Amino acid sequence: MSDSFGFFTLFCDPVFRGPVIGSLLMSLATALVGAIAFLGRKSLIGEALSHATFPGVVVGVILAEVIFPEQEAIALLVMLFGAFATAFLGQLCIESILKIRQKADAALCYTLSSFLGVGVVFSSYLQQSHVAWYRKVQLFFYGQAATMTDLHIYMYAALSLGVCIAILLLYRSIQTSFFDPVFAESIGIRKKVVSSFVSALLCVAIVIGIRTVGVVLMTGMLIAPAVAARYVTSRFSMFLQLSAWIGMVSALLGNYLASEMIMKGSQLVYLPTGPATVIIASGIALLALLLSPSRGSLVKGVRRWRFRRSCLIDNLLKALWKHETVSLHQIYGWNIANKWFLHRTLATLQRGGWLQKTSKSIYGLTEDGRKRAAYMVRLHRLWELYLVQHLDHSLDHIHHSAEEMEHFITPTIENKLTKLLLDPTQDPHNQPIPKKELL
Amino acid sequence: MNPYWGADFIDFFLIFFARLFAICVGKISFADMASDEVQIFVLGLIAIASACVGTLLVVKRVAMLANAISHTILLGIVISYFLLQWCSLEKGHLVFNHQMFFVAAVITALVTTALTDLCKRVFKLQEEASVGLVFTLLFALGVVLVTVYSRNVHLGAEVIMGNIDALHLDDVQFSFFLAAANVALVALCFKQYQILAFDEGLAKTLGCHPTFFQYLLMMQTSLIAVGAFRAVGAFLFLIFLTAPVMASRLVTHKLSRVMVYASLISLVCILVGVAITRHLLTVYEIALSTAGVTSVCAALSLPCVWLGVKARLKVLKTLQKRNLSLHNVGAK
Repeated sequence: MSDSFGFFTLFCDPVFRGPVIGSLLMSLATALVGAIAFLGRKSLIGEALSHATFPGVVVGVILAEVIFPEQEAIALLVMLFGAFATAFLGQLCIESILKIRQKADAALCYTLSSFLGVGVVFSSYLQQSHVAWYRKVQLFFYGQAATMTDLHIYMYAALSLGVCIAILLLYRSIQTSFFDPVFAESIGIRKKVVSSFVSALLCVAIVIGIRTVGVVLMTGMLIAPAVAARYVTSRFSMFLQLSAWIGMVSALLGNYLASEMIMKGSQLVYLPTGPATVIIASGIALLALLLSPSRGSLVKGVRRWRFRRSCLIDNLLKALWKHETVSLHQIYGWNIANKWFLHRTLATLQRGGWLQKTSKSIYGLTEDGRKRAAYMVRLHRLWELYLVQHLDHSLDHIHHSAEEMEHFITPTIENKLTKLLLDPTQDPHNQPIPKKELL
Repeated sequence: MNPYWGADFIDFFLIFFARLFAICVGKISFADMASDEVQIFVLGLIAIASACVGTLLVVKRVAMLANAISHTILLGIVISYFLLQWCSLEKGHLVFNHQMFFVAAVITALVTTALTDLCKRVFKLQEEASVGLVFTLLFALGVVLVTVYSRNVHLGAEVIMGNIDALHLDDVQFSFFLAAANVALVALCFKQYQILAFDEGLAKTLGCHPTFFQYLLMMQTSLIAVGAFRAVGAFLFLIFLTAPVMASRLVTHKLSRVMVYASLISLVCILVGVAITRHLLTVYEIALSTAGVTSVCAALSLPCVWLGVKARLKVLKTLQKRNLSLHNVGAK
C-alpha cells in the first residue's frame, strides 16, 4: 500500500472500488427510504426489521452453502432473499401483535428480540459445526464493507435503482398522503396502500444496508441522514435529496475512516464500517440539530439571546432617558435582568458611546444615547396613539402592547405611522412625543 | 463431572428437581452446582427482575427506550473500564469486578435517558427519531472503542450472543443481588410507579416527580442489562422484558398480578429452554446457545398463552351454548 492514500484511489483501486461504490449505493437507498420512514414516524420499525433480518441471513448462508456451493452470485442472492423474507415476517409479526391489542412499543421490542433470538440459535449451531460459514454470518453483525467485490456493486446498483424508481413513481402519492391525508383519501390514494408500500421499501432498504452497516446499526443509517436533512430544509423534494447526499457523504467518509484505521495501526485492526459510517452520519445530524440556519438550537439560542439583549438595551436607554442619571444600585433594583447580563450590557453600551459614567457607578446618557433613547420613546408613544385613535383601545391597555411593539417598528412603519397620525406632538397620556427632526 | 451429562428432556427435569431438593436441604453445597444449574439460576434471577421492571416498561410504553439502553450498555461498560483502569493505575493492578458493571449501568442509564430527553425537548425532534439517533451513535462509539482498544472482533459478537458457558458461581451471587435490588425497588416504589403509569397528571398533583421515576426505571433497566450482558448478551434480555409481560397481560390487567405471572412464565420458559438445549446435545449432539434457545422459548410464550386464552374462550362458549340448549329443552 502506498503512503499517499488519496481520496480518489477509493474509486479506482480494484480493492477499494467494491466497498466504496457498494456502500455509496446502499446509503443512497437507505437514506431515501429512511427519510420517508422518518416522516411517517416509522423510524423505530426500521430498528425492529433490521434485527429481524438476522435469522434470514443465517438461513440464507446455510442454504447457499448447502445447495449452491462455490457460486458466489447465487449465494449472495439467496442471502439477501432470506434477509428480506424474515424482515417481511417481522412486519407480519408486528402487525399481528398489534391486532391482539398490545402496545406498539412492546410489539417492536418483542419482534426485534425474538427474531434476534432465533438468529442466535442458528448462528450458535454454525459456530460449533461450520466455522467458515459462521464467519460469513459474523460480517453481518456490524458490517464489513472491505470484503465487498464488484459482484456486490452490480447487485446493490440494481436494488438501489429499483428503490429510487419506486420512490420516483410514487412520489406524488407519498407526498400527498403525508401532508394531507384527508385530501389524499378523497382523490383515491389509500393510506393503507402507501403505508404498506413504505414498509416494503423499508424491508428492501434494510436488506441492502445490512452488509455494509450491519444488522445492529442499520437504524442509524435510516434515521441520521433524515434528521440532518429535516433540520436544514422544509421542502419534501429537497429533504429527500439532501438526505440521500448526507447518507452518501457519510458512507464515503465512513469507509475512508475505517480503511485509514486499518492501515495506520501498528497491528491490523478490522474496524467494522458500520460504526464508522453511523458515527459520521450521526455527527452530521447533531451538527444540523445545533447549527442549522433555520431550526438549529444553537442558532435559535443565539438569535433569542441577541433579541433579548437588544430589548434590554432599548429598555435601559429609555429608563436612563427618563431618570437623567442613575446609580448602578438603582438599575439592579429595577430587576429587568440578572446582574451579570446587566453588567455586560452596560459595558457594551459604554463602549459604544451611548453611555457614560459620570462618577463612581453613576450612569448618564451621552448625546448619541439621548437621541437613540428619545427615538425609542417616540416609537412607544406613536404606537400608543395609534392603538387609541385607530384601534379603539382603552387607555389602560396600551402600555404593554407598546412596550413589545417598540422593538419591532422599523423606520418605514414609523414614517407611515407619522403620516397616518398627522405628525402628532402628544401621546394619549398627554406626554410629549419627541420630534423627529430633533433626533 | 456434570450430572446432566447424557440426560434427555425428561431426565433433565427429574435430575434437576432431585438436585434442587438436595441443594435446599443442604446435601449438595452451592459450590458443587453444575453449569446447567448455574445457568438456570442466573437466568431465572434476571428473568424475575426483568418481569417486574418489564411490566412497568410495557405499561408506560417505553420498551424501545429499554432497547436503546441494551445497546448503549456497551459504551457504558467500555467507559467504566477505562475509568477503573485509570483509578487502579496507582495500585498497579487492574480491578476487574462487578463494581465496574454497576458503574457502567448507572452511567449508561443517565447518559442515554438524558441525551434522548435533550433531543426531544431542546431540539424538538420526534420521539422515535431521538431514541434511534442517540442509541445508534452511542453504540457505534462503543463498538469502535472496543475494537480499537481490545483489538478483538469477537467481543463484538459476544455482545450479541452472550457467553453463557463462561458463567460461574460469582455470577449467581451478582445476579441475586441485582434481582433482589430490583424487586425491592419496584416493591418500594410500587404505588408511585403505578400511579405514574396510569395517570401522570394525578401523580404530579400527589407530588411524585415523573422525571425522577423515569430515570429510576431506566437505571433499573440498565442494571438488568448489565446483569444479562454476560449471560445472554446485550439484546436477548429484551425478550424477558417484553414477551412474558405481554403474555400475562392477555390473562390479567392487575399490575401486581402481571408481574407475578410474568415471572412464573419466564421461569418455566427458562427451565424448558435449558432442558431442550441439553436434550438436543444428548440425543442429536447439536450444541446450541442456551441463551438463544431460552429466549426463543420465552418468545413462544406469547403465542402459546394467546392460543390458550382463545381455546378457553371457545370452550366456555360451547359450554354456554350447550347449557342454554339444555335449559331450553328443560323449559319445554
